[in-house]
Amino acid sequence: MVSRQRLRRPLVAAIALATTSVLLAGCGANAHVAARTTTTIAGKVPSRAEQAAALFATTRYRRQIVQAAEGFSTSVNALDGALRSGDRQAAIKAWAAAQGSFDVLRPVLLGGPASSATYDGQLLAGSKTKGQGLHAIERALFQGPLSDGLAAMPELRAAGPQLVIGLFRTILQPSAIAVNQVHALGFLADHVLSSSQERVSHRDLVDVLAIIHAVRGGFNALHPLANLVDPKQLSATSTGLDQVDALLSTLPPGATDAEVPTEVWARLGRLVSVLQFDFGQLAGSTAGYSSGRYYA
Amino acid sequence: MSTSEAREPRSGVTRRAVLTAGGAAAVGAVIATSRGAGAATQTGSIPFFGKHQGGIVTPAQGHLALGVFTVTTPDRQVLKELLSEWGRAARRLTVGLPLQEIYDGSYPPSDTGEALGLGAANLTLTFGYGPSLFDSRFGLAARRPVALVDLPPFDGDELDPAYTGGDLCVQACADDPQVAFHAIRSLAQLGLGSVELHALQVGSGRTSATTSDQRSARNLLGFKDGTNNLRSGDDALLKRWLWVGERDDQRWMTGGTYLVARRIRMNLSTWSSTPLTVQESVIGRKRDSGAPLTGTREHDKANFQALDPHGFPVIPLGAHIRVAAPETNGGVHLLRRGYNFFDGVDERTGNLNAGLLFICFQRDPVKQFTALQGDLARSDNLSQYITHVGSGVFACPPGIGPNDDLGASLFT
Repeated sequence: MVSRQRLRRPLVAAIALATTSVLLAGCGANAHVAARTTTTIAGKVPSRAEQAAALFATTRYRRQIVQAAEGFSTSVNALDGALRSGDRQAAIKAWAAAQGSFDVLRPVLLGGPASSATYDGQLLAGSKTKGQGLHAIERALFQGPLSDGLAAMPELRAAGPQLVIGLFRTILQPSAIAVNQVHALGFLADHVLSSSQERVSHRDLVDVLAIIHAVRGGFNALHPLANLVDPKQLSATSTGLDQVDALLSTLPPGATDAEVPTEVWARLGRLVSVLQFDFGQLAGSTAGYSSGRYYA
Repeated sequence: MSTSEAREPRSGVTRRAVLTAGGAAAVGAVIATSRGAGAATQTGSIPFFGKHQGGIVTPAQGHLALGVFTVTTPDRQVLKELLSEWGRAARRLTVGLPLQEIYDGSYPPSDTGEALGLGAANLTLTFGYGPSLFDSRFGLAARRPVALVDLPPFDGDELDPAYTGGDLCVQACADDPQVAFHAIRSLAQLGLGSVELHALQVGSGRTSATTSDQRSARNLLGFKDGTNNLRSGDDALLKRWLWVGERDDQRWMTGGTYLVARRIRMNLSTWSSTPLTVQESVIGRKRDSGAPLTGTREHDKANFQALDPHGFPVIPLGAHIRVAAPETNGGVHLLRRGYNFFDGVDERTGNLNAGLLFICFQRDPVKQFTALQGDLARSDNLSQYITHVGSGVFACPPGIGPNDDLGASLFT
């Protein structure tokens, strides 16, 4: 029986869940997965170039994750210092950086306890609680008093190194990398565009830009392999990403929600849906290609 | 003069007279027919009277209209009379009769007419009281069951006030959507001036089976839902997990239960772009057969200990069926009775606004739904594909007999 205690340890559980799922997702062609699904994917014998491209994908994406975890840790420390010194502008800058790093990590953490409570922390509508994690910081920064943010800092400071250590050994297979982009875009559509995440600062663009940046990183990691196995789908995905980037480039840096025209949000939402589809197709195209490594 | 009285129709045949006298013989005749035939009869009606309210363990119908009301009258007596009136209306509606059969054409008809000729369509009406009904307005604070408290916020909740809370709820289920809608509309009409409709949520396509002869249905994720649901024949489990017992804190609730309603938006665009193998890992079941990943048939028992050749659990740690299973939750069971909903397009994303009107019944929502949902919100891999956007909890009193008034036990 699986230990309930294990599930209740937020970070360990989150990473464990993420690792298990992405491993499963990344092994679409492996016999043990095919045996328990309703579809069977024929096994592939990858060429040397494909093997190299698969290894590139996993290595590159792992680096992106680890860098994001490190960036999160660094930003949180900077945030802590800024809060203690009462420097609101520096704190806002550090908060945005930490939020951006976290947005890169979100799909790896799979929306589990780490993302929804400890670090990200929902502002609970109608609740008297002040929230947790980054959203508690957001509230302190934009509604004050600044000192309120300090209460959330011990957990956030502890989370940084935990994330770095916990994610350091994670290897994601190419198909799982594509699925992660589906999830990242899903969060963007379903939680940022649809209902707003930064409800105090009204700066959802922080999340939008960070998520799209992360998705671009995932795309770049997959590029060599996708170019070998499904260039047509790669091209479609590239076009979609370019369209998103072009749309976002029309917005002034640091724009608040009110400064983003409604039609831009709507257009972005529709482009994101198409991109989700494209990455879903890439997940299929790259299924079965493995770096042969499951842990770094 | 109360607000309610002020709105009494002046049709010559009063609203109350319609419900008590006009057509009483017909009601009696149909009730006599339907009660003798068990749950669902050939006439397509499910008894309104009984030890428990209908719409709980009776066979889940195809359609739902869930009406949630705010009580606007400050008058306890008016509220009491309204509930009685709703009870009388329910006994007519559940046998396919209109609210009124004698019309004076000089006045607007009491019955709105859209269900005429449609029959009862197995309509059930299940009434519930929200925690807010037990505030200071009606002197009911001492009657509030301990288990009836607002649900706490859960990780990931994005609750819309339009779909959250409420003083009263009426769950109308039927095999014809128009019959269910008509029932809620009729009750709202009867309550004009005393209650306001806070929300009307409509669902089509049941996602749970409540009797052993009903097949599992699929939700909008494409998976069979409610495979391990409590069913009407599971008497020991129902007694333990569904019905309020005599030793629970409020005697008036004995034989009753608690309804939890959650409006769950499904992030279908994300789900649809997720490979099938991942979908199945997230749920822990195969999509086509509904079998657990460790089995071959839907009702095979899931083996949560099984490991794959790499040493990973075959049913992942965060798989929905593992996190939700009674085996991993101290044996906690719920009786689920949910429906799919489809509600247009999200303007900001262009995605479908659709999902699950999750409804479940239990003996104690604090120890059952709240405990379970806390775990699901933290650990369920499905969480990233769904968003809870509405919430409510209601105490559903036991059923009533033909000579009882709905709501009488609450005020006695």
